Order: sequence, then structure tokens, then C-alpha cells
Amino acid sequence: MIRFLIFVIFLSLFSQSTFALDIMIKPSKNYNQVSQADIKAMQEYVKRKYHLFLYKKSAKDAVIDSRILSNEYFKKRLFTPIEKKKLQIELEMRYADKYIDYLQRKIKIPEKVLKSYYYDNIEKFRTHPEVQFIRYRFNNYKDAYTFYQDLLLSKNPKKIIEKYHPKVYQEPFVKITKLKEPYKSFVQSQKSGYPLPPIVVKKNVYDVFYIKNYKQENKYKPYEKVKKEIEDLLYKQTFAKRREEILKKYRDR
Amino acid sequence: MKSAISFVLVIWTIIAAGCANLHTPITNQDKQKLLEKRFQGYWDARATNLKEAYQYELPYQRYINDFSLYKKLVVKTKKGTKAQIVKIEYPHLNIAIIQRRMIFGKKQSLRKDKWIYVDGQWYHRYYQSVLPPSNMEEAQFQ
Repeated sequence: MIRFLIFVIFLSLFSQSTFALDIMIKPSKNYNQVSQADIKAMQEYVKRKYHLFLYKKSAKDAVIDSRILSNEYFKKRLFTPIEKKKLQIELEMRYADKYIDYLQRKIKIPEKVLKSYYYDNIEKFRTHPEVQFIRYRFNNYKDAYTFYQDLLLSKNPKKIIEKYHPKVYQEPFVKITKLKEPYKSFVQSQKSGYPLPPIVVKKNVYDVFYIKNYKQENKYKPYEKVKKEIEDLLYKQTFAKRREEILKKYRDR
Repeated sequence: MKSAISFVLVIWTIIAAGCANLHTPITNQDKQKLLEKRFQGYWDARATNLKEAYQYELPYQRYINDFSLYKKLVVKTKKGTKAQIVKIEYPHLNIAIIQRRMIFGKKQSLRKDKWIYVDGQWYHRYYQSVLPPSNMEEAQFQ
């Protein structure tokens, strides 16, 4: 009898292991028990999905909250078999891709390959021009506008600034490609020492930006700095081909 | 004794010459000569042996597309076609744009070639030549 039981257990284990992934989902009884791994997983999830950092306490609360709600979903038997299948397929596909990626990264791409990509696409790696602003803040539009007009005509901005007494903020250098509209469209190529028209920030807050410096570095990012980027790009481009090659090996076994 | 000394001197001279050769930086003239040689070798191979021509292509293009796909993207030029260099421009130290004249009998056409210098060797950048060009760049370099 015992032997028979051992055989049945062995058989059930074996039959389970024939699936690629076997998911078992059931409502949790102790949803208040949150492990460090749960917290870390939640922090990573939020960072990846929303680009936000969660403190441990907030991450723990988020784990408990989502557990309470998802438990209720399962208790109400809303989790259907087809939904489970979908989840299974999604996971299998994700891990299949991860496996290919893992195998791909084990084989280092030769330097010659990476360098040839770099030189052929060197324009992609050109550094972008940067500008430095001074931001003048006003609490009424009239002042902001006359200040802007005076700055446009004047050759000595210092005198005008002394006349109006706005709040002054020195901004650091910023890449033109990172600028948002409407600022981006007002910036003139290769030119500095001019103001942009007043911008309404909110009620009674108006900003006039003055382009202090324009830095055009006609340079390329060095190969060593973009090597990783090129590697990722080539891995992506050859992903489908590698997948087919790897699959062929397994199918032929 | 004399012969032993002269033997050592000869060996030393050979080693010194070899070392000096190792440290001689490649000049722009050497690079251009090498480019011209590679250019002729490539276009000769394009008319006769595509497998050989494939070896001239950029390492990353060969990494992405193997020879079986290359054969589908690039067609052989007609036997007897000659390629001549009209002009070479270097937009970058390691990039050369060659204006080439393709001559077949009485027919002539002007095209461009892009060559990249990587680790002491020039490589050709290929563009598909089976379908009509999809953009300006392809039209000039096909």
C-alpha cells in the first residue's frame, strides 16, 4: 500500500513537471505577512512601470493593498480558467524570451562588429547642442512683456534687470533635444544673448527666459561610452534569428 | 668567432627592423592605398564570386545577415563590369565615401560606395540591390 502511494506521488510529480510552467494561484490567508522579497519586488515593479521610487513602508502597504483586493477577486471566483491559461501563456512567452536573451548575452559580440556599427552610424552618436538660460520671474504680465521688449532692443541687459527687479534663477546647461515646447521652437541655432517671449506659468506667475549661452559641441560620443547601447541594439536585431537557431537545436534533440 | 658575431648582428638587425615596423603608424597614404586595393578586390568579387564579396562587407552587417540572406539582397554585377574610382572623400577619419564609375561595354553609370575602416581594414557597406531604392541614400549607393 505504501509502495503504491509512493508510486502515485512520484507519478503526480512527474506529470506536473511535463508542463513548461504550472501556475497555482489561490487566495492568501495571511495577507499581512509581507516578506522583504515582496517589498523589493514591489519596489522594482513600481520603478519599472511608473519610474517612481517607493520607500519600504509604502511598498509594504502597496503589497498588502493589492493582496486584499486580488484575494477578493479570487474568492468571488472571478478568476476564470481561460484567464489562468492566458497568464500561463504570457509567462511562458516572457521566460522563453528571457532565455534567448540570456543565451545571447553569453556570447560576446566581437569588437570589430560593434566598432563597424559605431562608425557606420556615427551621426546617431553626435553630441547635441546645449543652452543655458536665465529665468526672470514676474507677477504681472505687463511687466514681463515690457521687460522682454526692452531686453530685445537693449545691448546692456544688466541695466534693464536693475530697472525691473525680477526674481532671477540661473539655470544649468540643458540639451536642446531635452527642451519642451514652446521653449524648444524659440531657441535659435548658434545664437545667444536674446530673450524668449513671456510664458504664463500659472496665475500671476510669468517667466521670461534669456538665452545666456549656446554650446555647440561638434563631437561624437566616444565608442567606449556607447558600446553597451550598440550591443543591446544588435542583440535585439538578431533576436529572431538566434531564437530560431536555438529552437532548432532543441527540436533536433 | 667573426662569423658568430656577424650572425648575431644579422639577427639583431632583423629583430630591430621587425620592431620598428610594428611601431610605424599607418599613414593616410597607406590607408588610401589599402582602400583602393580593397575597392578593386570587392568589385571584382561582386562580378564573379559573391561569397568572396561577402567577406568584404561590414562585420556588423555580416553579424546580422548571414550569407544566405545576403545572396537574396545583393545581386552579382554583370561579368566584365569594371569599377573605377572617381573621387574619395573622408567625412571622418575612418569613413570613406567613394564616387565610382561602373563601366560595362559602352554603358557607364556613376554611383557611390561607403567604406569603413575598422582595426586596420576597410570594409564595404552594402545596400540591397534587388528592389528599387526606397530612399535617396539607397539610390546613390546601390
